[in-house]
Amino acid sequence: MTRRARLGGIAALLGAMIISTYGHAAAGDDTPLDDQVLAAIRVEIPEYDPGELDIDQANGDFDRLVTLLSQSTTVASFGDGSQLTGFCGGYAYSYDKDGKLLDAALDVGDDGPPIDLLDGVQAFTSGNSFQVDPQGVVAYFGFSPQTGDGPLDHSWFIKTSRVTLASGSDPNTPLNNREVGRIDLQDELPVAFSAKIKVEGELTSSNQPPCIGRGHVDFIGNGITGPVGLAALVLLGGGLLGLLLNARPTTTYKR
Amino acid sequence: MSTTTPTPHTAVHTHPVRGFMWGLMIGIGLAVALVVTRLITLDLILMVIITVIAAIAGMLWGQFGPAKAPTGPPPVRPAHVTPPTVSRFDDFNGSATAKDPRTLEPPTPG
Repeated sequence: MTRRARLGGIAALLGAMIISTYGHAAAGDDTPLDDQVLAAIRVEIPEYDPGELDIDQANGDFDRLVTLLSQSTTVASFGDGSQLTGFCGGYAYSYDKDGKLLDAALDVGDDGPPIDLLDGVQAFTSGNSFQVDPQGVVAYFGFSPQTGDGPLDHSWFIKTSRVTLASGSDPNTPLNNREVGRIDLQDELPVAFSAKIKVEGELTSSNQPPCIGRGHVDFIGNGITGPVGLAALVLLGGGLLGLLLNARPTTTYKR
Repeated sequence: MSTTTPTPHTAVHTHPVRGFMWGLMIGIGLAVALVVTRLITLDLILMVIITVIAAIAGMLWGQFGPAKAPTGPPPVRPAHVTPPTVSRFDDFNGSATAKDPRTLEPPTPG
């Protein structure tokens, strides 16, 4: 998969999963799902890295998950002049470096918030971030919308901390409305690190209302023992030593 | 930590610029450490604030921190030296000291 395609996949992931629409967080439903429903959902989620996903199979998986969640995924006509947010949706599965399932979340594409498929509560919140291993893999399936033409001549960006991480555009003349793929984070990230980041993004097109959202992602690396953490410790320790030994006022005898 | 109080014979030298630079280093390290331990969310503004606060704290330390005592013994001041008596008749070779003519005996005739 080329880098551009991967980034396009990230855009789809953005629209599908990472981000809930602006109004979602406030209107979030933190009621956990029934245990039996959760158990049935867990059966649907591959426990280990499934490798490359097939788009039709992913679509079927999504439908089954939505059926289990007993939520409608039908996106009606946008109507004349009205804006419907949250028409994009999908799912994302996160696996650690050993290929074991770490986290899973789904957005059905309606006005509800994304759902943590393992806990049954709202996903991508600051208290329940989407967990990602910087040396692991994220498999995803996303749509915009689930039925009908995809975004024509669209552009997108993903930002964190007011810095654009990635952006792009695509005429998408075939009007594809869904994307499936996997992001190997070890290939994408220059170094493994730990961080809790807030992601914001937007996907706009000439034929659809924008897909706007935000969410929290938790990169679970080696913490302070990772390369970035060790570099931080060196800076911190060196700075403290310098401050104590080199910057303290000194007294000298007058001559 | 040995500190000293300035006396009339000592002077205190402050290092605010060094303190700022070391504080800057501490601030960057601290901000990154807080992020990688996930104690704070990655936020550039917050990280810059932490770094600036640490740099300013370092500068204040370099300016107002407790001063280190001077190292080594105080410098030995040279003892008061009486200047040599100037003779009006110092010989040019400097090998002998001329006598005061008033104390000389008159020359003996013959």
